[in-house]
Amino acid sequence: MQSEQVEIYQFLSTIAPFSLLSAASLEEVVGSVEIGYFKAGTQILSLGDAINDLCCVRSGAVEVFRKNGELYNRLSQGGVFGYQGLLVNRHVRYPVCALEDTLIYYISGAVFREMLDREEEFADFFAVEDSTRLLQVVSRQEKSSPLMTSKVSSLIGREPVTLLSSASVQQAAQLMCEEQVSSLLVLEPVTDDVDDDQLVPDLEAGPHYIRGILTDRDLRERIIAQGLSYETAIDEVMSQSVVTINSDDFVFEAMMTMLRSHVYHLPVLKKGRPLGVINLADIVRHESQSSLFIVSNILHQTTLEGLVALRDEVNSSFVRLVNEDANSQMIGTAMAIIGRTFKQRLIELAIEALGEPPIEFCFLALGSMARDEQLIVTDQDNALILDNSYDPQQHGSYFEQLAEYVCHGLAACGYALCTGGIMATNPVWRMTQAEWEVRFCDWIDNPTPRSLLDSSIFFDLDGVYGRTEWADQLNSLVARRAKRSQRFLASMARNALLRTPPLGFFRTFVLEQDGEHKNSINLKRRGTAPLVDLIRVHALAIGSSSRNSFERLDDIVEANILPPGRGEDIKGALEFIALVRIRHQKLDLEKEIPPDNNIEPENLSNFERRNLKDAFQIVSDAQKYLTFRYQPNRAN
Amino acid sequence: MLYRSLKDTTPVAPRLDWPAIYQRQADAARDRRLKRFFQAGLPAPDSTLAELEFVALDLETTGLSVEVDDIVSVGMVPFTLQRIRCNASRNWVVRPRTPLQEEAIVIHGITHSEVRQAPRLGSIIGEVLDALEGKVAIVHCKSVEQQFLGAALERLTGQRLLFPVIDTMAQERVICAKRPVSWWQAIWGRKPLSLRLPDCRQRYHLPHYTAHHATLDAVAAAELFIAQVQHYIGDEALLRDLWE
Repeated sequence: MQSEQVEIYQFLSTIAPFSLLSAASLEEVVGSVEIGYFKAGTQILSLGDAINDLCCVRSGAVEVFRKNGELYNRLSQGGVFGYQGLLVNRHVRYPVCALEDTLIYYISGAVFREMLDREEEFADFFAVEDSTRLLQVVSRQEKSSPLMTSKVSSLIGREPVTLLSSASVQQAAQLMCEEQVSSLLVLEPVTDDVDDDQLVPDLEAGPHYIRGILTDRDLRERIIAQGLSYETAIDEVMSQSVVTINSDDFVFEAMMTMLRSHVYHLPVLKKGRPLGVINLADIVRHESQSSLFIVSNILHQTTLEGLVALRDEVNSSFVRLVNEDANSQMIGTAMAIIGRTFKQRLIELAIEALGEPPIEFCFLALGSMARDEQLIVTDQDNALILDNSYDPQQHGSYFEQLAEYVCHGLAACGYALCTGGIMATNPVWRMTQAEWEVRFCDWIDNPTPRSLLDSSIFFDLDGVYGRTEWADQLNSLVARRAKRSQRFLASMARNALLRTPPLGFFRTFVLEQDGEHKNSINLKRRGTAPLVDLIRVHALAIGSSSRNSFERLDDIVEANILPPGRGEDIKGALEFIALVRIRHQKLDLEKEIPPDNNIEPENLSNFERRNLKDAFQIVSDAQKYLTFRYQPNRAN
Repeated sequence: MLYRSLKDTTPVAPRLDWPAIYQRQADAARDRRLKRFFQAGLPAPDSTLAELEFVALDLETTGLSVEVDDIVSVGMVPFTLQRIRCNASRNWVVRPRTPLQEEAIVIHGITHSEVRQAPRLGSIIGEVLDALEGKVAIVHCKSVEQQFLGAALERLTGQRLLFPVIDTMAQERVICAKRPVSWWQAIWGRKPLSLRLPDCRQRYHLPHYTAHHATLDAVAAAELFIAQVQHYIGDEALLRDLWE
């Protein structure tokens, strides 16, 4: 290689796809380079012209257009264009114009084609659409995460210890001692032909189903403390609603299942047959620094000060999850569970201070916590459902004080007060069950984009404490009703388009000009929020009862209302933008500066830049599709 | 557009009748290589820049004095206003008559051992002339290239080489002088702009290169020239108004 080519070599070796080439191939590419210069505003490629070279932006910035003149992409230093035309018919398919004074490296088309034949990874880069490229990136990352690759089955140490339900609690305790286990599975044969004396199920004899589970804690709390006879049948004291997990599920999912359902033993099933039981300790051993610790820590605090002191631990468990390559869904769920636990504990402390509530209630979580998509920078959105017997004169002050205690407690624990006033402290958002139903019906039946502007958050709703089934009832009301109201969906769709992705990233991207974060992009406002909004509209349209955006997407894909492949694209985009946001918050925490949702383009790696650009393109396309699908007078 | 008027500007140097000068040199030439070079002639003086083929030329020398110092490296790259053909660039390292000074090594990155193994200029000058033949040379700071190459040929053949160049530095000087003066500059006095190659390039948003490698500098000068043409000179400008 001639030494003046070192300059070109060094440049190309840092950017994809050339960085994927072997050194010899890259030298060959470098050897074919020619250079062109274009003043800002001049045409680089014109539609239909012959094209013989692959183009790479050495410096400056260009705009790529569709045939209809619509802006397709903006590329800055390192951006590659012209390959669509080169690969198809050697005529320009996407015209390109210089946005700034731009230096272009031309790579000979013959050498380019040679590389496609010879270098597989290089070819992959061009063979796939932008969105697919993004998906590959995301799935590659997921594969590398140990938490996501360990299956529940790897935690099972032994066969389950089982017993028939006719056994006495003493017999159960003896068996547990013998086997040195802290739980027993209570099985029942599917066919009812058991000897009366038989205690241990004969699994070879036929299929059994799980009737219940008996744990150390049950023996303590339900038998000894209650003074029951040792002869009591386990049938009477065991837990009957058994939460199970499949052996193919990931360890992470087992952990989340335990946290969500407040159980510490999970029977593991394979094709319906119990393989074993895993408990919290098994997972903790597997995942020694898990976010579980903080959850139990929260539950053990007896004062508000104690809870506030845990704030740093929340941050460090967030950092740990990121460092362990957890995906955004894991992190979002873990943080939501932690937030929910704070809320639950605060409500318990409030009740200790204020006395038992005069009527039943349900404390609601709204927005990201309800969707299991909470991150570290978050404000609180909550509300209260009160029993229909609510009388403001009689009960008003109790719930006002309860709300004050919980919301200000949460604020002290790092969950900022909601600036929009969507909190239980606001009397507007303390309504009876009947009033809530009326409110939701009104939103759905008499919609205007304006009236729904601040209420989309209520369509992500989850019960946290008290009569949580009231929250489920509201959710199913919404699921039934929303899909029938085309005007409601159209209004929601219109609002979902208010926040747009910063498409022309890095060069001419639209910067957030307000507030203290000048020259940066708010990844929540411009990235994840628009996606979450549009996913919610689709989910409402199909009557999905899921709240998590990824789960909603699964429902949406199943309902077949998106063009093929689009659901996976959106998933990939959401995951990627969320991960970039998460990583930048983690970096802020490690640098001990207050984390936020803003990123400065110069702080992004090349990898992040390139893929964020793809992701924003997907957001933009998905928004366009939303406009098309939910027109006020269109029948779906 | 304030800069438009620059296109119709008067030439920066007195117009020389280069075809006639070439004819005279060809007649006088005794050296076979020189004779061929001059006989190949030059593009027509009334050609527009858009239709011309150029070659950017850069010399690295042991120092700045044409009497004492000598050429160590020659870099050339052919180009048109559309494309710089890096893949056809040439680079020669040659053994100077004067020993290489330490500071020159620092600047060029050419080492003693490289130079010791290098040929004398005399054995490659034919190739240099071939690469230059029939094309318009672009240089940044013409005095170095014109004087050193001229003097070297005089030594080798007894005949001085006079050849036209377009000097991007001289062009930049004209362009800068015509720039509008802001009120700020009017009050504080116009600060002379640097005409060093990297500084000129920066004004056209061209990237930073590791300077002082002959061919890389030639590429850098070619890029600068295209930028000057696109921004100020215009591709309809006539060759005769630019060469010196």
